[in-house]
Parts: sequence; structure tokens; C-alpha cells
Amino acid sequence: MTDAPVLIRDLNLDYPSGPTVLSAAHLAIRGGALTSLVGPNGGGKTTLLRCIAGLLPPSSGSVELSGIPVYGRGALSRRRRARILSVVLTDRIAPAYLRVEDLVALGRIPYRSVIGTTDAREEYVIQHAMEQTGVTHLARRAVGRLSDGERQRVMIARALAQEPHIILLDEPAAHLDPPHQTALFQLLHRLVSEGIVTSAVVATHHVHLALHFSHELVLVSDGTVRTGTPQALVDNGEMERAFLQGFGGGEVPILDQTRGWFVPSSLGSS
Amino acid sequence: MSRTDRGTSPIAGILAAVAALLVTALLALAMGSVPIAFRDMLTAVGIGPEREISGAASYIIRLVRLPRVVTAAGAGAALGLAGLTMQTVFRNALAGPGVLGVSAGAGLGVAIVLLTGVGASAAVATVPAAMVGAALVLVAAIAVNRAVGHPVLLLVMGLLFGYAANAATTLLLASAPGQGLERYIVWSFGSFALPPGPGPILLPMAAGLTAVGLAVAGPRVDALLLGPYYAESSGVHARRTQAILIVVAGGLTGLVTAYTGPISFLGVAVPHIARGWIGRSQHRLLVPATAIIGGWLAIAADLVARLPGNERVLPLNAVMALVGVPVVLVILLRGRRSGDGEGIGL
Repeated sequence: MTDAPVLIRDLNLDYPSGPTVLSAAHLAIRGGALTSLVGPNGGGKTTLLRCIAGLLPPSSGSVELSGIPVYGRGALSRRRRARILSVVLTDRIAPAYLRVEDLVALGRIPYRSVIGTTDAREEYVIQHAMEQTGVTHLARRAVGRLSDGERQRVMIARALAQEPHIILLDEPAAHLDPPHQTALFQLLHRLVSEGIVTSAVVATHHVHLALHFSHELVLVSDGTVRTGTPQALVDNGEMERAFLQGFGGGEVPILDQTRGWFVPSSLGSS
Repeated sequence: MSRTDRGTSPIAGILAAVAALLVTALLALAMGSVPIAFRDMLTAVGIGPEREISGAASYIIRLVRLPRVVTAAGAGAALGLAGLTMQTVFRNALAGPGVLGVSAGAGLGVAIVLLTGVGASAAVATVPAAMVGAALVLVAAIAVNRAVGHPVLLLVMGLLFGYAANAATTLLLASAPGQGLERYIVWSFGSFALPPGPGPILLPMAAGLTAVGLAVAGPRVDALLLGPYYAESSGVHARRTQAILIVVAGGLTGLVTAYTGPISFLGVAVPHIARGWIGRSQHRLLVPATAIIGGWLAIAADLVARLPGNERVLPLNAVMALVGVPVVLVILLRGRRSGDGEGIGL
């Protein structure tokens, strides 16, 4: 593939009739990589993610998936876009009586004809997606009766059932306990390293996990983006600055570079 | 354990509901203020053996009870589907056919005709009046949807339309002459006994077409349950799908209300009963279940409303709620006890 899976140029994202949220002159998401978007609250991580997903048109600039524009002239149709990219969002999902396997099957919508019923190949993709995230044993459970961790894995299985090149996740670890947070990032890392998806992009507040598992970081703060490897962005202090610019929460903490946690400055940096 | 986990076939649940619908329909044909033998009834509707029956019995069955039962089935199915559609579009368990204010608009149309004397002479003027009222509110709702494109705002606007239409109706009622007042109140009770006309055919046809359309679009409609962003990202044009569903549900509600008067309760409750009964949320299963259970409950409520031995016909709306509320309570509480969460999911 000659083109980057996601390529953003001269992007401006505005509030409707308001100030600019985010500008990005150039941002490329690499293939074969787990990329984390990190930055302070209100920095625009979710906005950027939605824009890449085709859910939020930019006020100017372009977003391309493998060289094909997401918005504007010659843009991907919804259906074609859905075959390239899928999402796991923070939206509350309504259907309490939907069974896990039926929810995962909704990932096949972009491949179905209007009448479309489920054939053997479709069934295989759905089962395979559930195996990837370890939810096969939950197949007949109602979605309303899943734990937060189970539901998150089911939503990832649904996204995988779209057979995407790119999977975007918004705060996927938000409601999980620490071991499940780690397991989730492990899962995402494996999806990329085994080539099940070309790229995974995660917006997250779990800096320590982002530092540990990501191949690449995108710092989203102060209305702009900076990319680099986790090590480089920590070493040159960009990481710390991205979070602490305009910090208004009392005594300013510092980034513990080995652990990836913000700690009180009195403890000192190790 | 719910049906969802037990793996009980939802198809079996739907077939059981069909059986209940048919049995109740036959009972409703046989029972009434004039006693008619069951086998005479079967002959009159053409499913019994060929034999001589009295002209009066034949007339009552074919021209009074059959249209009434068919109307009830069609209206119940249509309102159930309208409620289901609204709950899906708004992702809200409390949404129902009334949320757009369409039935309130129909009520205002009827009130204007009956209370200002515009249609005092014409017996069937309520149907076109209600249709015009419902259509105006629906057009306003579509315009709002186009302008703001946000379902929750549409919900609030629908409530406001409803309040405004009800307020205007109340003003008319307060200054109305006695005769028109009585006719309006009788209309607002709701009834499946229609004046002669295409109503009994129209309602089941509208419900049937809607059911087929919703079932064909099934998975796309399912995707809306995950919210517009998930729907869009899986290739569904969320806003367009929502708009189509709103028009369909509003149209069905307006049509039913025009013929039968405002039928409360059914539209909100039936989708929940259907979900509890078959234990699924997929529209391909939920749509037939909702239509059948809606038709069945409407026939049953109408049967209770005109129980034999009772000279007067009870107000349908009152019977509907009195019969329906315990049913829904049982289903919801049973769901709670068996640990299916709060029991009012979608």
C-alpha cells in the first residue's frame, strides 16, 4: 500500500459558528501500527477521531483513507467507508434484548444486500470476530446483561466483523478495571501485530498504557497535533507539556517517565 | 432466565401469538349482545361447513363484527408498529405513537369540525378532519426535523405541538354547544366500530405494508439502536433512515387515529410486551411479534369493552388501560425478578 491508511492535510475542525477546535497541517496514521491519541480533556481527541471516521465533516482540509477522500468530491460512500474503517465509541448502546452474536452480526451490514440473509461465509466472519476478542462463550447472552469489560470486547468484535483495515476506538478502557484495561490494550496490540487490522487508533486517557503498547503517539492539545514515538515524545518533554499547558488544577504534577503516570512534583522524576 | 438466554425459539413465540390472535378473533366474532352459535359464526365468515343460517346472524357477523375485529387487529398492529418505530428512532423506552403530537393534531381537527359546527351535519366528517389535523402536525414535525435534524429536539417539539393542539381543543370544548361536546367526548373514547367506508380494509393493509418494509430494512433499523454514529459508521444513512421511520410512524398514527379516535396505551406498551415475549431486539423478529400482539390486544380489549350481558359499550380507552396496565406490570416485574436488568430495555 503506497498511501498511508489515514492521511490528513490542512485540517481545520470548528465548532458550528465558533472557534477552531483543532488544526492539523499534516497527520499520517501508519500501517502496521497501534496509534494512541493522547492529550488533555477538551483537547479534541474525540473530535479528531470522529472526523477520521467520516462522522464529522471538517470546516476545511482533507481526510483520506488509503488515498480516497472521506469528505467532498469523489468521497467514499458510507458503505465503502464502512468496509475500510470501523469504530468503537463511548455512546451508550440501547438494545438490552439484542444477543451478543446478533449485535456482532450488525457489523456485516456494509456487506449485505437489501434482502440479505446470513450465509455460511457471513456466519464464519461473525464467529471469527467473536473468537478474536474472546466473547464466543457469550454469543447467546443478552447485551443488557454484560459487564462493562465484556460489552467493550463485544463492541470490538462488532467492529472487527466489518473486516476493516482501520479500527478507531474512543476511550475503550474508560469503564474497565486495571487488569481489563491492560488486557484491552494487549488485544488491540495483537490485532495489529497479527495483521487482523492494518491500523488501530485509540483515543485514551490511559497514558501509561498508551506509552507501553503504542507504536506511535499523537499528542492532541492546544488546538494542534504532534506525532512521534512514545519514547521520543517523553524524552523531549512534549508529552508533559501537552498535558500541563494551561493546567488549572492546583499544584502542577510532573510526568513519571518510566511509569507514564503524573505524580506530585514533590516525589521528583525518576 | 430470559428467553434470550434460554435459546427458546422466537419463532415459536411468534406462532403462539398468532394462535392467540386467531382464537381471540373467533371469540370476538361469536360473542356480543346478540348470541350467535359458534358454528353459525364459522359458516358466516366462510370457514365453517356450508349450511343455512339466519339472515340476521349472517348480517351481524359479516357487516358488524367482522369489520370491527379486522379494524381492531389493523389498528392494534399499526399502533404497535408506530410505537416500536418511535422507540427505535428516539432510543427511548417511553416513546410511543403520540410523541410527535400527531394524534393531538387529529383530535384538534375533529374538535374543530364537531365543536364549531363546521361538520355538524355530516356524520363521517371526523375522519377527514382528523386526517388533516394529523397531517399538518406531521408536516410541521418533518419541517422541524429538516431544520434541526436532532431527534431529541423533535421529541420536545412533538410534545409542544401536542400541548398546543390539546390546549386549542380544550378552548373549543369550553365554549362548545352541548351536542358537539358529547360527540367529541364519544370520539375521544376511541372505538373500533367504524362508519361504513374503507377503514377496516385500510388499517390492516397499512400495518401489513409497514411490517414488510420494516422487516426488509431490519438490520439497518437495528443499527439505529446503537445510535446514529454507530449506524453511520456501519454504512447506514442514519438521518435519512430516521426521517423515513418518523414519517411512517406518524402517518400510521394519524391514519389510525382518524378512524378509531385516539387509542392510548397500546402503542407504548405493545413493543415492550413483544420484546419480553420473544426476548429479542432484532426488528426482523420484533416487527411481526409487535404487529400480532398489538392486533391481539386490541381485539381482546374491544371484546371486553362490549362484553355480552352489558347493554352499553364501555369506553375502549378505559378498558385498554385497565386490561393492559396489569399485563405490562406483570411482564416488567417478571423481567426484574429473573434478573434481566431493569426489564424495560429496547
